[in-house]
Amino acid sequence: MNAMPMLSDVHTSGSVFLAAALILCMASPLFCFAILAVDGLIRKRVKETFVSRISRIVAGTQLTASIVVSAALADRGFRPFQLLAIPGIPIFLDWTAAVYMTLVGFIGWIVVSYSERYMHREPGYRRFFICLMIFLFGMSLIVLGGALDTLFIGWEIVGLASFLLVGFYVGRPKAARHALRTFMTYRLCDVGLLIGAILTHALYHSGMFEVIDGRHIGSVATDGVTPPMLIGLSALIFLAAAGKGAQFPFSGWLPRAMEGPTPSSAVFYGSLSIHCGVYLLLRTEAIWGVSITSRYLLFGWGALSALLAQITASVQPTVKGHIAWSSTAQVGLMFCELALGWHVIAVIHMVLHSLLRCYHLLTSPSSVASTFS
Amino acid sequence: MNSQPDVSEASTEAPAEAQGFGLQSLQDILEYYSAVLPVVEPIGEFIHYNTLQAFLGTPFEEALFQARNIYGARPYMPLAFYRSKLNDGAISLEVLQAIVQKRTPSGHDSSAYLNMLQGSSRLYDPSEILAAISDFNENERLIWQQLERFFPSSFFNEGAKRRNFLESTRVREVSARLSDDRRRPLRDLWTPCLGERIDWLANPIFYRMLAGFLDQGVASWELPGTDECFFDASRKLLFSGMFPDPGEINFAELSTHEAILALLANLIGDKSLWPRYLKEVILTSPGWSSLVAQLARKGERLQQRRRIHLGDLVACSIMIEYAMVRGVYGVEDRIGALLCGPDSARSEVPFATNDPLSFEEARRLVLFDVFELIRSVPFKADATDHEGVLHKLLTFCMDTADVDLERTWHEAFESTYYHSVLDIVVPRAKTVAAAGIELAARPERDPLVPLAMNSVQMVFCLDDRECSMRRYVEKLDPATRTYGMPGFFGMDMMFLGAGRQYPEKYCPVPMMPRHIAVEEAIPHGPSNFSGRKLQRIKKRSKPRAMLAPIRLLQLWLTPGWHAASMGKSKNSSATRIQFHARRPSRSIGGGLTSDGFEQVHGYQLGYTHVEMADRVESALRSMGMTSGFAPLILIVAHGSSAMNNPYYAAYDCAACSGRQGIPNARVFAGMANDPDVRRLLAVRGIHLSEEIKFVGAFHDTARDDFHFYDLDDIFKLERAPGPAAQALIGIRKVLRKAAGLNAIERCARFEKAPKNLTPRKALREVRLRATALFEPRAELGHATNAACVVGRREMTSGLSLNRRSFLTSYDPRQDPEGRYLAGILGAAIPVCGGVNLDYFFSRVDNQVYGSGSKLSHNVVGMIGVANGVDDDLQTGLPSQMVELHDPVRLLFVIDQDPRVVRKVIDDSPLLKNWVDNQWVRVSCFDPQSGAVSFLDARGIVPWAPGEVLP
Repeated sequence: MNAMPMLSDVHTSGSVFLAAALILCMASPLFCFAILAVDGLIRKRVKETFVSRISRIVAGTQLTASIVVSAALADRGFRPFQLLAIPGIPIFLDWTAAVYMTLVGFIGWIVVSYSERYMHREPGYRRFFICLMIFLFGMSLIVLGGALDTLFIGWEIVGLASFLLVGFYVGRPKAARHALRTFMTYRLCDVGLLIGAILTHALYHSGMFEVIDGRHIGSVATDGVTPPMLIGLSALIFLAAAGKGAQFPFSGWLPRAMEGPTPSSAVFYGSLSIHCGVYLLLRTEAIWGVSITSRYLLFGWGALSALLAQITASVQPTVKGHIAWSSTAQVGLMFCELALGWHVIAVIHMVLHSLLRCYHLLTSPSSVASTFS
Repeated sequence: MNSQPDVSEASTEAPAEAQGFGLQSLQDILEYYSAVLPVVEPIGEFIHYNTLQAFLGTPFEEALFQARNIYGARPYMPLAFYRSKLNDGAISLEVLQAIVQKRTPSGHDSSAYLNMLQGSSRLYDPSEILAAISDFNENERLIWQQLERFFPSSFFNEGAKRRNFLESTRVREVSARLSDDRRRPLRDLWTPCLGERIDWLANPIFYRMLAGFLDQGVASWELPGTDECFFDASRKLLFSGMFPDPGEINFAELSTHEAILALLANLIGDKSLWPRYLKEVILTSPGWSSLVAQLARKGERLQQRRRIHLGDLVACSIMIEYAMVRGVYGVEDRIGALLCGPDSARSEVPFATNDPLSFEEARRLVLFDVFELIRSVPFKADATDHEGVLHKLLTFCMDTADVDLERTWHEAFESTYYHSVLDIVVPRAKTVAAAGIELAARPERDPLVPLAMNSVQMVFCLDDRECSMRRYVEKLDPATRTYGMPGFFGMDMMFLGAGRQYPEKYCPVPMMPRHIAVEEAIPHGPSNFSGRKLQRIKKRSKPRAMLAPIRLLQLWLTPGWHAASMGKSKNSSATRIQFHARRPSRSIGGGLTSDGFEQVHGYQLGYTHVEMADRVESALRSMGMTSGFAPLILIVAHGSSAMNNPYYAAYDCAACSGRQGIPNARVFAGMANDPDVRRLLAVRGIHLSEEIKFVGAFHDTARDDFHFYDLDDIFKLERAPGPAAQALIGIRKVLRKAAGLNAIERCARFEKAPKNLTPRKALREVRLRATALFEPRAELGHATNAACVVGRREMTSGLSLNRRSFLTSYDPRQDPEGRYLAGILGAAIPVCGGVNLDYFFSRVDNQVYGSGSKLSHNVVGMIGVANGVDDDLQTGLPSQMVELHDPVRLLFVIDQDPRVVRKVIDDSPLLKNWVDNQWVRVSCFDPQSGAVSFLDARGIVPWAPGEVLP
């Protein structure tokens, strides 16, 4: 088994630089969350300038750090990078992670800038940014997590943040109901990820992506992993991805999740959170990509979801509902692309789709004006 | 005049008959609610309506309570609001004291009333009162014990006293508050059978079906059956596979109303419950119900027409309930049986309430109110009539509910503002009147005659946002005179824009235009006049293209650059508006009017010269602009360019039915420039010499910039710039500076704008706000509107009315009969009053009358907004638009003899309702005598400064 480089083993300054940037990516939203939480405990009245300023600084830091990370990775020739600076939270960086992390940083920064003015004078201003920071931290764990376990932690944190932001308007019972539905769907499907993580440990003797990526089908079979086990593990991972990605039959929560303020809908259901499923599949491709049956399953799942979602999207009378169902359809297509082994195309699709949907949702209030003028 | 039936005679409960509930009763109920529900239009055509328009025939205060009974809305702001306004100085203590004196019931002490208004905590929750009592200090405990001794339970318990006590205003108010605020809907009786509230199961389907049916272009595929009426479409959808058909009712053979009756008989059984049930169905979704009721009246509001009325909506809602309850869940009971059935397992009635307030608790409540009055007032030790005083206080407390206090506060709030307006306008008006009387003898010294060669007259809309702009323009260029008139400038027309499919109305809502103006694009021609400066004006004045969605990065990273770039002229083809009536020599598609003029879309294309002269003359005379014209007269329309805002139409000109009045300004200018029209006007006594030019312009109130139109046509015969052209060059500079100053004044209200701005920075700030995607408050619109002055500009020029006043120009000396006043008030009162009351009600209760926060809004079918994908339509104004607004009714200050005004108002039933029922407050300043009076149901009530307002 490859030995993992500890921070103390790393000699080249470039690697230290990269390591620091990675840790900054993860730690900055956590740090902002801590500050805002303390501010919430100490100060009853919200001081908007303080909240927005620190959120903007942190979001900018995360964006800069993620750009630095991408640049440093490119400098390394896109060789994957491992880091275990904090015990229990390994970091694994390859080019997919770098791209997604930059996307997270960019959209996070845009939404924070947008919300600073948009949420002005709204009760719950600070709570909104706290939830946003929780979300960004969870996303960074998902993207940069070096093991399935770490990814799972981030996964759950993102689910929690989704739930808190869908139910942002505490005075409306419908918002609370739909937030609960979102959370329950997530939890149901996360069973897949949890069991999948356990099984991965059992089968591969490690949860680390670096380790998993290195295996080949030959060594898998000799280690006592039978194809049915592999297909079962793949199905569990697909279940988790389908839950977060709103694929059939778990699509119901997504249009109902448009209860929160517009920027939260944009960042979650337009761009970042909904692609976590795709990202999970990208990360675990070495597991499910081996068996052709799993690929058929994934392709069928994605195609069926895309078809149903597109039909549903065509009849949605509300703008955000239409966007939600269209997102589902696109994620289904991404599943198909992954099933076909088109890794790069899936990533490009994911990035462009994120940007498009985020923009769509943020400008959805102007759809009336652009129709009538 | 809108076509809603007047409900002034109707009670708050819909007509109902216990037995024999038939088609007629159903029809009556549906018509009643159609009339009572607020007018809601598709959001792209948002117009400010008085939310309680149906109650115009009822006095204002009474209407507030009637509306509370129907909608459950608060009639006034909460006490804390008024108390904080007192602290801020927005309510004057003297005014409050005067009103308290007026309102204190006879025999009671007004100081007690004042004390209660300002200091009483008005606790009503019994447990809170107990907690407060247990927290008393020594002194307070002594007082409390004394009270208890004076008023033991036996005091209240004696016979008739008990009933009076329990039915007293205060006790009843608190009981109502503590019990379920609304009675639970009858539908909740299904809950034990279904395991879930039927609303959660049925409403998503219902709303989606409604939204899908009325959708104007969001979905790519239409709901099947959009060419039928909604009842047929929904019936077919529901029972062709969506739900198992219980089979008991054969909907295919029934009309809408028959189906409703059949469903009610099936589901409820007990006919006495039917009216209440129907009310609940309609008022569960007030947004959709209001919109559907309006679409039934004016189907042309939708570009893609749909056949729907309130009965269809009710039928669909009940059908879904029927399908769920009978078909899916197989429940066989009826609501009537469930309500009072013997089966104990099913009779958990969710709204049988015990007395929410026990006798002891009620006693403590009232005693606590008395306690709060006396604890700060030291007892005079030698007073002999403790008991008498306390008795009076007790009666007073029993008879005073929170809403009485709020009403008093509200009157003080309004009066303080009205006093402040009258205190500055009336003295000025007196000065002007005195000067006017003097000058009548020497007209050649009339200051209305401008003497400067290059002066300008500008006609703005009477919009309150123009109030400050006019002030700055006049300050920067004293030779400029500004006027105000309703922003449609007398052009009662429909307008078909270039490239549009359907004509739109560009005049106030009550008007029914018969004419249409058509815009057509023209190719760029060579310019016909020289002069570099004028060329520059021409280039920079082209109308801006509507912003198309732009790239992500550009907009977000560099909103400043983007904002600046929007100011540069985008390439847009010039257009010309056709407004001359034609008699075609051969037959054409649109047909001909009865007089042989060309028709477009059923309206007469354009105006004849006589019609044009009529309108121009009437507009000029109503403003008092009949002589002494400046060489350049600008007709300035207004509109707004807020981005990313579904309520964009609310910021545009209300007098043009929620649109930007550019076509009106251009048509007016074109008419007034027409030589044939000028000849006719000369015959009628208005002489416009050839060098006087009218130019149509546009003021973007969000960006504070100006654009000018048709300059080619207007100046084409000039070789060198004449006086009008020179004046235009000059006024542009003035307008730019004035815009900067105006922007500073506007930014003072924005919380997030930086302080200490220069004009340039302020302009940049407002333009950033207008172009930013993420700014929900691009401009404040009509927030804080509170007054409307109808009179000569001299009455208000230079006065800082703080952008709160609509300003209409009117010269009473030229209109002794009130003929032009009738035209002005006929537009101003409904339009400005509608704006004011829309803001008023959305501010007072934003959840019920307004639409809540706009941040979670989702555009539904291009006709409205809702929260989430399957929810009721949110109507009214969002909290972001009204949070700065002070809810006061509009005060009209009219510069005219009150008897003339009274006659004008009495001649119009609509205006009479507005004024006599006090939906707007009308005051008159008599230019001859200098006296001020108010108009209300009593007629003319004279008022002297310093008195309490009538």
